[in-house]
Amino acid sequence: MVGRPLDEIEDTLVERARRGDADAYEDLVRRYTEMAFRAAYVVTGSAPDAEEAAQDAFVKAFRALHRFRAGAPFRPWLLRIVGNEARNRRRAAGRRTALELRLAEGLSAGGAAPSPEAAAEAAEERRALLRALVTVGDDHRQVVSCRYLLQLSVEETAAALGIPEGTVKSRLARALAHLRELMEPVRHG
Amino acid sequence: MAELERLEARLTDLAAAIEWPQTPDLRPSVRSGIITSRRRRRRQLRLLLIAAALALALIGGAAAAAYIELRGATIQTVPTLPSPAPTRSGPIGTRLELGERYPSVAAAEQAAGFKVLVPTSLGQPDEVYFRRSADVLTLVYHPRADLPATSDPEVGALVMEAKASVDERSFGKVVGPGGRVEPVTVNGGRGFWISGAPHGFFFYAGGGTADQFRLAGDVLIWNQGGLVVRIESALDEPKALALAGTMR
Repeated sequence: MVGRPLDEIEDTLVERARRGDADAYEDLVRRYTEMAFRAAYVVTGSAPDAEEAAQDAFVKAFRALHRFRAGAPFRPWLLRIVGNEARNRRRAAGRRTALELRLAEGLSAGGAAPSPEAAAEAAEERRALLRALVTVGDDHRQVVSCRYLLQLSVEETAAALGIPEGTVKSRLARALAHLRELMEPVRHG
Repeated sequence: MAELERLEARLTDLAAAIEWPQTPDLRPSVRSGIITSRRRRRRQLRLLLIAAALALALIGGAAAAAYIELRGATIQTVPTLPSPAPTRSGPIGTRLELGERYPSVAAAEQAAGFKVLVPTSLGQPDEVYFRRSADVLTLVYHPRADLPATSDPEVGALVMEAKASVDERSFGKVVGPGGRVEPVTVNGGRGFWISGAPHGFFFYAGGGTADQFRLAGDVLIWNQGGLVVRIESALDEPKALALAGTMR
């Protein structure tokens, strides 16, 4: 298992937090709130549940820092705790909220300004892909969301979803195949 | 393969276009969660230490121990008393961990869900508390001419009352060397006069665990009606019995 290149600032912050430095831990919280909140949102499908899950995960992570192996990548370790909290909340809520994803308004493609036609086509492609993504099952949507929308590594995706890395890869392959099938009519329509 | 790569590129492009719910600032709530969690852990540790100390004392004295049970309270004699918990600072209710303060006996009774007896010879108490975790209501009387101060200079008498249940105890007493436990009858009910060397006192917290183990002075404890009552004061036995005789 290969982690991300070790981030010296992160290592320093983690080490200081392990020694009880609350300011250092607050820096880590600020650094990873967005990732933790969005990962929890992918699992719970509810913003309030995701906020609670991420908050509790950060508190539990602080208490468990003494068990964190120095030098190990922090993100997967944190995401494992976030994922557990998020799944617990989803189970406790006894509901299966469908993940709601929206496109930002007025977004243009990167690079040079596209023609109005190209921009409209790109926007329609995104909408179609998003429709396809909400159509696939929970397992497929979660793994694709973590891997591509949140840009998590396979290791991090496995940690967040509480599944082995091999399962992430196989599930991802099936999810992409499913998405391709769903997108066929769009491309050839 | 090109199809797959194209789909992956489109998903990556989609990532930049997603409008996620607004990310909250978790730092204040995490900070407060960590502080609460530290307090809870310290409290749990304290409970464990008290329970362990009591268990050791009780096990150590098992052969010679006398175990007396009133309804709602226990009294046990042991060869050595465990060390009391460090005394807290602050007002009486905080120092003695009596629970929440109420403006009147009636207000505390409403919170407790049971009626208490008040020593008519002393009148209305100066302070009233109810400790929910042990279901104990406490009347505090400040020292005055007919009521000398106890080891706590601000306390003349503590009258603690709880529903006297066989199944649930509200407080316990551990009497070490130099302490005496004498059976007495108070207002027709069974009771004990505990005197001599200071004895250990603790509340029963949830799950039968002990909490707030401290040393107490002379105490009269008895069952009356549906209650277990204890009066902790610097009064001698006849005066304490006379005081108890005015409980209405």
